[in-house]
Amino acid sequence: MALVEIHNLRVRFETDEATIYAVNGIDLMVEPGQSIGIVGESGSGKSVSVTSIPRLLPRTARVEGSVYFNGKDMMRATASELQAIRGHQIGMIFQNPHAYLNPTRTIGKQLMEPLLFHHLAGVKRARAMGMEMLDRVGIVNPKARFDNYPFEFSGGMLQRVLIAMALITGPKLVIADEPTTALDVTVQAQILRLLKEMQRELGMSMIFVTHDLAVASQVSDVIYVMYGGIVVERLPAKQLIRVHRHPYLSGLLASLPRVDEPVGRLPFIPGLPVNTRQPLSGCPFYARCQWHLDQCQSAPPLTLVERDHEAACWLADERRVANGQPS
Amino acid sequence: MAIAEILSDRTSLVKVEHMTHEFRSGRGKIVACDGLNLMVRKGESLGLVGESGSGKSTAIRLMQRFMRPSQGKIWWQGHDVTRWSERRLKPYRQKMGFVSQDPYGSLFPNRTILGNVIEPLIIHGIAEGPERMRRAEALMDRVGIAAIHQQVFPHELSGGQQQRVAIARAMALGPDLLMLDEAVSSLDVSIQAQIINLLQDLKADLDLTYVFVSHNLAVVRLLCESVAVMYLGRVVEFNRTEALFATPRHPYTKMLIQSIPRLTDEGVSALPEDPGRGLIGENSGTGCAYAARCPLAVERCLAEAPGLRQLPSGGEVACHQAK
Repeated sequence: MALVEIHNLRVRFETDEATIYAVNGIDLMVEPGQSIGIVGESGSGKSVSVTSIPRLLPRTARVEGSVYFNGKDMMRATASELQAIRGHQIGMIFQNPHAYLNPTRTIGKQLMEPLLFHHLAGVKRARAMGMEMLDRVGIVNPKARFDNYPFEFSGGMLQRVLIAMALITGPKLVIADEPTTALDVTVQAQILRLLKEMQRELGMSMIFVTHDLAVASQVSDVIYVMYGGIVVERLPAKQLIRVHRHPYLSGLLASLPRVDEPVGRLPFIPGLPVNTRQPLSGCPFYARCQWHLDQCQSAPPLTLVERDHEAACWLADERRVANGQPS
Repeated sequence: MAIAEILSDRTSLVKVEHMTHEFRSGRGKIVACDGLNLMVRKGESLGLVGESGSGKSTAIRLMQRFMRPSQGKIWWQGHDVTRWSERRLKPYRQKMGFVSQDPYGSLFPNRTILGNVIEPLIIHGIAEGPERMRRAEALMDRVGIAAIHQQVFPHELSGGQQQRVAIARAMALGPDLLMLDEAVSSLDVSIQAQIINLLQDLKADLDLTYVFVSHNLAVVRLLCESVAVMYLGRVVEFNRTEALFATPRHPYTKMLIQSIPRLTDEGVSALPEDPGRGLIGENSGTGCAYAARCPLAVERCLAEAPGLRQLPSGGEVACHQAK
């Protein structure tokens, strides 16, 4: 049984001015121990999709579809059931650790909180576990650091604390939403390594949300590429470069500045990102796609193109769109 | 660009000599820039790379004389402007544009796009009425903002378009030099590529020179002729861009290049091995700032800070162990 099963998830936000169509029907599956990367640009619906698993979306969100976590129907779960799952069976790590830690409480107090809240340990035991966890995530001298406040840590160190906090209860699933975006590349590499090691060690599943294709393929087994609130391609991370089919993904890969290519102009995707204020009709990439057909005005379904590889493009079957060139 | 050369030069666009800047607070002082020697010549765009806290943003702000350095000198086109008043600096500012990381924050939210681009022309009293409009429209056209967008307000544009406007404004006075502080970092990949292309075109067509601050080495590589790698306020390596990427000498530069997750035709680069710890915790402040993290560190590195030295193969490195 899959740990996470999402079917036809749709999320829209209704505000006074407009309705934002953030997620327009996605399916997602996470097996136990598996690591999923969700890649997309801003506004592609990647964060909203994963935030709907622990049901943490704001009240303005209208959510449809089904979300199952560990066999539990999250859409029908009561508030207290959800509370028992959040921070216990699902750990979350966000982009900006400063915003998610209470500046007036010590790191140690906040680190013990998930254990105390879920009655997993007494104060004494929680303290010991907290220190052990700080040591595991690479905080030097955890005894002294335990009673420090968040402002006494650097961004990279604070992100380690947030990871420790998310993992201290031994969750089945950790959701990491752009956890390294605000960090330097050297620190990013350390944090990714740490996350990957902890994930293997604890046998957790991980959903890793990022805009960075390279980072996603470093830490994930499977990559979901999102655009305009739908999944346009799902493929094994190892094959990202070789077998991608969707023109959006091809364009994205080509437009990344690389250190191993001759210096020159970068290929780019013309046009503007999807306007999420209108309901989706047809392929979301239609207006920016250089190969679009009349057929593309009706939405292409996500179809299997080869083993473990799906793409939502009418052209995916007929021709391979590789490196920006149809062949 | 050897240090001796920097010290004797009088013709560069911008030059800094032994530039040091300290921020003081109740909790002590932070040395953001520590004795920097840098020079920007026409046509020789300079990339400043390093992690947060390395002093690259402070350096670019000092170079524009937004603040005065605690020590050292700043030269613009052969003039020592270290102590100049704002009034005296003003005519020289025309030759220098600035683009920041946050395009929305850098534009006036209560003025139209056109109003934003015209502002520098008004401040410097350049052109009038319809001529001003024409110039601003030409600039917008150059950076790819459609005419229908010129009367809208910044919040109505996407991040990429806002950054185009910020670039148009920075170029309004016809500068020789554009200072860009993480100018593409906040943009999505597909949009980032468009802005990088625009910057490449502008550089070629208008003979612009850039000082480009970034933590993204791959982007710096596309826009700069030479690169200075900074670590905790000091330049640890300086070289021509190709040479720096082909043969990084400083252990920090090596680690920095290795840490970039790279997509190649074979696939993605593996996560780098844990660099291990050097002589951590023993850094007395007198030695090399990188010693605590350096895999090559020896006793000497703790005792004596390495200065930049010329390498026979070209380039400069501040490391006792680098060959």
